[in-house]
Amino acid sequence: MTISIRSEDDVHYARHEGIEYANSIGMETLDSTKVSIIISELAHNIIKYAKKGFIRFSKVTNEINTGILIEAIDNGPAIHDIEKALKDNYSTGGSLGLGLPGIKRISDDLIIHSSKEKGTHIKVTYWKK
Amino acid sequence: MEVISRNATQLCDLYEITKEDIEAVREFKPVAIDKIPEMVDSWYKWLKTTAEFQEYFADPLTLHRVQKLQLSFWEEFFDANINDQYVSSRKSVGEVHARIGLSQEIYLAGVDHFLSLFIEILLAQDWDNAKINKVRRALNKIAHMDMTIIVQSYEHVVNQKITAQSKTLMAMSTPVTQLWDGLLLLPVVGLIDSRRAQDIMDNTLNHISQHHAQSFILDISGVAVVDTAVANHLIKITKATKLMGCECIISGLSPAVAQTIVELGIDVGTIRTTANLKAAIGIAFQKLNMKIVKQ
Repeated sequence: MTISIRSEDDVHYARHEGIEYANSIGMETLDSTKVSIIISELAHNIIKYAKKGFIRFSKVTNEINTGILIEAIDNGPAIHDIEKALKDNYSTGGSLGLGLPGIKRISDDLIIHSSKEKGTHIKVTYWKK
Repeated sequence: MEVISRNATQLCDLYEITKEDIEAVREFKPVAIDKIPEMVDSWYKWLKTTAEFQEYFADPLTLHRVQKLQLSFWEEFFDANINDQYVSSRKSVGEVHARIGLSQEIYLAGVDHFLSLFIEILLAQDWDNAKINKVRRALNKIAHMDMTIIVQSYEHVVNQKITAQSKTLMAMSTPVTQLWDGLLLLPVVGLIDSRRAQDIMDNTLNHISQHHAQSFILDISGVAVVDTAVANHLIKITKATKLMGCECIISGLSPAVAQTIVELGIDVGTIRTTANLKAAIGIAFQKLNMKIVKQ
């Protein structure tokens, strides 16, 4: 499912759909709360830095488990220094600076592609606990 | 959602409506216009078979008015004077539908009904194929443009309704109440976004200064998600209340919320937090040197 993110209302909507989706693949309260946090952080970043973009989520499976792949896609100004962006309390946007490092701690896998030419594409995987 | 608003010329460009198209439709007008009352009748028969009929058109006066509107709508259509006034008349149709809650489904099905009648009449003319095709294509283009304008203005009204609703909710959403002399309580239910956070901030600080409050309890047991943005808002609120000499206690942290706050790495620092409202009230009373005793 792909959701357009342009305003804070879209963030709420994406989070709402994300929780439903997490529940539909058998996740319980703590898992779906974490999924909704991941979506929320990614979507807020889109608004803050790129103004608009997309959140997409899909189901992933391996031999033993089910999970959710959450993607954030935008054509914004790109993350200048990915290593720094993953450090605690580093923010160029006047916030707590815990969004990306928080996602890294909460999630099982975090991949960031970001360039001026192609924009930013973040992939986060969260496995059912 | 922002809607790109096109004026009449831009719409014609979008649907590639040319002078030839407009001429073709106008040429068809004398043939079609005579049949329109008949078509409106046929449309009325069709409408009677739908579930919406009873709800919207059962009243004979209403029906009569709607039929008259239909006539003038199609007359305008065949005149094909596509200017900004034409566009705004289409827009108002969509707005009316949205306000009365008439579904898009029934409107679109209605248009399709008319279109099929037009084609029937068109095919009955002894015109050559090329001409018939030209008129048919022109009818389609303009009808589709009409539908888009109407559907978009429908959507616009629906969005406005949603905005109005969220404003109403917002107005009800920050009821700061005085629990005791010097003690304020604000239960927050639902979502905290930047608008609402600002609302909470303003409301709380005003109440603190009005009531000379020393303690303020912010109960978030009704808040499902505490992400870094919400945490940032909460921290700012507690800081501001502290500056006004009032201690802020955040109560009602659910197990899931507590765990995610830790994992996100949010430093709650010196903010007093409790699992439930009862504990928070206990702390606040202690600070006020008061005690609740059983009689």
